[in-house]
Amino acid sequence: MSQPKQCGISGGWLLTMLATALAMLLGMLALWLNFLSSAELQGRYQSTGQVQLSNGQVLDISHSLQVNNGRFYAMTRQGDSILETSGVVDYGFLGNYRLRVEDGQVTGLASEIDDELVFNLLYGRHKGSTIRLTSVDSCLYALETRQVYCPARTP
Amino acid sequence: MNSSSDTPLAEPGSNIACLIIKTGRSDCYAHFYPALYQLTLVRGGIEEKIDLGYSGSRLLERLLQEPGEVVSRDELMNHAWADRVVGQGSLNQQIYTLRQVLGDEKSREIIQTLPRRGYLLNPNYLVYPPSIDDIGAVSEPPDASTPQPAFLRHHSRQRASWLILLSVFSLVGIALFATLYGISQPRDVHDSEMTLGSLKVRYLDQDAHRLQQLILQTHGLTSRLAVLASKPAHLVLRLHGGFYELLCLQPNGGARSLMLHESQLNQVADAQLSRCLP
Repeated sequence: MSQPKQCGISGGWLLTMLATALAMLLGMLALWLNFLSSAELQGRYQSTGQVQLSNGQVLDISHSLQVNNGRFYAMTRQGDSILETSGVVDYGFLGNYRLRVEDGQVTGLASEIDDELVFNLLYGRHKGSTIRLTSVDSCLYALETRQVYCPARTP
Repeated sequence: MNSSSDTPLAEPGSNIACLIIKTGRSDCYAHFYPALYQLTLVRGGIEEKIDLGYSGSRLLERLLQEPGEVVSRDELMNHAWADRVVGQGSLNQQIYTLRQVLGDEKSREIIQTLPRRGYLLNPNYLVYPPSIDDIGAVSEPPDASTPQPAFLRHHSRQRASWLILLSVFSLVGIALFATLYGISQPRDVHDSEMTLGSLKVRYLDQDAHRLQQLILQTHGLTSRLAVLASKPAHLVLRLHGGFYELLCLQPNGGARSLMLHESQLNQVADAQLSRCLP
């Protein structure tokens, strides 16, 4: 008998439809969970550099970020000024993430630092402020606070 | 009932619903297409299409609605000849013809006679599906002028509702993806990439006009970097809040940054530029 079940039988068809619907629901759930998950961001990031202020003074800068189980801990140093923050990873999707600051403080803020840089430090200190990270090559760039985080090299 | 042998693979190729009945002949199966009033006998890969006619098809359809259950003669006649008054002989003749087609005229095991009660279709001969209620729908009516049986209309609606459901799922999925994408993506950034000697410089700005200005204003800086670069490097340059931000991507995946107040663009020392470069 040639292919006896190719006859538009709805039992199998309904089963296929149910399976498809279930797969689509699971797909959407996976999409949403992936959006909320920060698993791909997990790890240590850092970068170094310099900033030349309007008065010509050159300061060393460094940025460090640790993401662990949906929480982040970050430190930025600009000369003697240190910003430390911690909080949660709000979401992550296609290489873009958002961090929400829960706690932060700035120490050693020097008066000669330009306002823009001071603002960045203070913005990142406040509870509830959000920092969006976007991919630049293999690194992440913080749009609001101008920090750069690259995956830390493992020894 | 007309028959034609060696027809091509039939409605079978289409989505038209069918039931499969094992016949009284060995290795011979009957594919019944109620919507077409047709039955195809399949044996050893050879198919023979048989037109049952409206009454014959309706008769078999009614028996298949409740396999194993006795259907009275009156009910069968009402179903098969709904608009006509016919004698008992017509029913006897149609039953006999169906038995002939199914190879059951001698053993009478497929369509069984229960004296003074009616007929029943032996469910053991129904291969798939177990009941006509499980039959699929017709994707295209075989003949627009032929009224579609009620049970097929029911299944057409069922399939349509599934298609609507799947479409809704698809739309919700796409909307969800678009929403998440929209939320997570930063505002559109204009970028331009230029090669200066061994350097690849990527300029970024949210405004296309400002991007051009950035390229022009930093031409001196990038020219100096091109001279200082001892090996190929990939740089990212943008202007934000009064500071030029130069990101020097390192071959090991890291990066060094240099931020320059816009008043310091031409004051920056070569040592600082070299320190940023890989």
